[in-house]
Amino acid sequence: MVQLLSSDNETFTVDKQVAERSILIKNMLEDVGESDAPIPLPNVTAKILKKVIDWCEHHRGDPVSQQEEINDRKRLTEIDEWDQKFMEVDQETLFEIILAANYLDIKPLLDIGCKTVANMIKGKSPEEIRRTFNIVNDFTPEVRQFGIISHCYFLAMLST
Amino acid sequence: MQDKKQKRLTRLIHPLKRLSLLSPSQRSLVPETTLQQVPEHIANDLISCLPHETAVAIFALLCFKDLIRTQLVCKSWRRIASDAALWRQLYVELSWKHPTLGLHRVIQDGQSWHQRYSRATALANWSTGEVQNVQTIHGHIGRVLSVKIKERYLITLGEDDVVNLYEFNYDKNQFQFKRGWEFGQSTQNATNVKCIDILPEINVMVVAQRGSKCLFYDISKGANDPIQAFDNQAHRVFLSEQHVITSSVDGSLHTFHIPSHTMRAITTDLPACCLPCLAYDGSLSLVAAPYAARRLHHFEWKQLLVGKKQSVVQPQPSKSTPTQNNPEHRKTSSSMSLSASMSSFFGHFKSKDPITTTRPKSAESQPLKSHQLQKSKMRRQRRHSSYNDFGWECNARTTQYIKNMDTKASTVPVPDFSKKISLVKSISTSQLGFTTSNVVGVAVAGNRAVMVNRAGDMAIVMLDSGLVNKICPATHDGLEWIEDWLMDVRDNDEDQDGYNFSTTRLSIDSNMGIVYGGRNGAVWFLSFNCTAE
Repeated sequence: MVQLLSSDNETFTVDKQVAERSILIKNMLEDVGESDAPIPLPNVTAKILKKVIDWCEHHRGDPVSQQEEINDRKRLTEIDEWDQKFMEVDQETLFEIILAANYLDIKPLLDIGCKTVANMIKGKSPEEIRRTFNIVNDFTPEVRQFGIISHCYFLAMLST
Repeated sequence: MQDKKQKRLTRLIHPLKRLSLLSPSQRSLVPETTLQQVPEHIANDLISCLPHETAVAIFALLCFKDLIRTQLVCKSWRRIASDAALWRQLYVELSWKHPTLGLHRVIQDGQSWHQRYSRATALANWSTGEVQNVQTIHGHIGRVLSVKIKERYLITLGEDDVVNLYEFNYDKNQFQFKRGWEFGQSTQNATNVKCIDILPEINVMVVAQRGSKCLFYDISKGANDPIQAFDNQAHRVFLSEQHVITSSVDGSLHTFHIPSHTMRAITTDLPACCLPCLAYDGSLSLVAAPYAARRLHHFEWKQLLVGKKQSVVQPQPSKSTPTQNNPEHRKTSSSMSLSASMSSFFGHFKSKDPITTTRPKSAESQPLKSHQLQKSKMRRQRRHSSYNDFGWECNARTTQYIKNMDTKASTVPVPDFSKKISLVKSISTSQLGFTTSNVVGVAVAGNRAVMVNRAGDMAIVMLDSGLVNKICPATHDGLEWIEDWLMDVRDNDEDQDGYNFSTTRLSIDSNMGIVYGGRNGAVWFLSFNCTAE
């Protein structure tokens, strides 16, 4: 068993196998050996750490993923059902999970997070994207016009 | 011992603390320093707050179109979506997907991966015939008889004897109506228009009328009267930098060399079956797709070695008004050559000799022997030709066309029409089955050719690699593809092969796309370039 300490000083006790889904923790344990002292995770709040541990427990038996072949972009953004449900959270939580996965070095979780965000962007117009992510268009009108035109021009001028 | 372990642990974590964006004391995702520096709204944008690598990893899951859209969202998104690694990855994937297309050929030094990818994807779309955008233009009543696309101009001709000119609007990414000409009020019953072509560099449009006349129009002017006319029994007309090539109803080809005002018949060894269905790209290439041969023949003329006069022409921006910055001496020389050629024309007209022997100095010199050989051949051709007289009319404004010609830099290779055309390649199209049977129309531009069959199925042929592919929309969303040809079939279509053969309902521009004139009066513009919308 391993103890994890969140940034807001909450302690979680998890199986070593579960904790080792995180490459960061795995490496730490390898470096320092077994210890009763909780591992401090200063970048992860209890709320997010709870989610991440949930995910790790569900995926405890998964084989450690190898470098996947990238062939089809469509297939890349498919997410399995449990994970999809897992990611049904508000945007801020989603991004905190991504950050946590990035920090804890949990590649499959990071992938799922990225896929979820990518799916939010897909097929949307720039204006719809802005609305989804609450972004203000900071291009000046001239730049905007020029950007669009130059892009179309650029494509139109392609010759082989 | 325990202390030592703890010490090592903290040493390990310490640098991570500094690296991370989140500090334990803050609920917000953004460090305080960032909040102070940037306007409020950026702090709400979560993707921009992610580490660059993670943001790029998200964008790496998007396709080309989505990436373009994300570039238009805001500045920080644009920066992320312009990451070279993204585009290199896209390029690598594309070249893995199409190993046979030779996409590496588009790579040039000094190009960004974004540019390389864009070029490669355009080439891939062309080669595989995947149409990205379709614009439908309803401009005619009855059938569309002829269309032509050159650069940003599109002209269409309908059964209603109206010629419409459209200009491409890069802002809206579609063609917009610019001007129309009506030919319906002609007094003679057989003077409706057969075919059209356009040369945007010098703002000239040519119109072939059924009454054996070709008319030139200045598309930059509002005036509705032609600037020049000459006679030929043309049913198809192609305009190149220096020549007008007409294909007559009997299948004979004639060129009209504009600077020297000489008309001559071209000797070709084209098989008779090629004649109804051929296209010329204004440069060296001529393609023919015989109705039932299931092949596309690609012919090429030898390039004409540039003579003294042509080499004088200096490059100039093509959009400038050509008449104003024309040197004085050129004016006189062209009008001199005009009068010389006019007299030669009328002289030969009187003696019933179809060849123009006296050419102005600008015309290429030619050995006498081959000349006479050609003479006899042309006589032979003349006898079987419905080609009428060499009589032609011109008016004072004829010189304007030549003036425009002179100021224009000629970058396109000029074919040597005195030499015979040679077959470069004969590309089999049989693997496409029905799509390339009963071919009734063909168009060519550069190294790309397109053909259409009676049912409106199109196939694209890459002349250099010999690749043949059916043209299809990139997204199959149940849309009726191009036209429901059974709807618009007429009773006499079968008897009247002429409808399909004698019209050029298909046109291609290697930068813009393909234009197809439908039976129901609609014109389709098919674009292969990816754009955001």
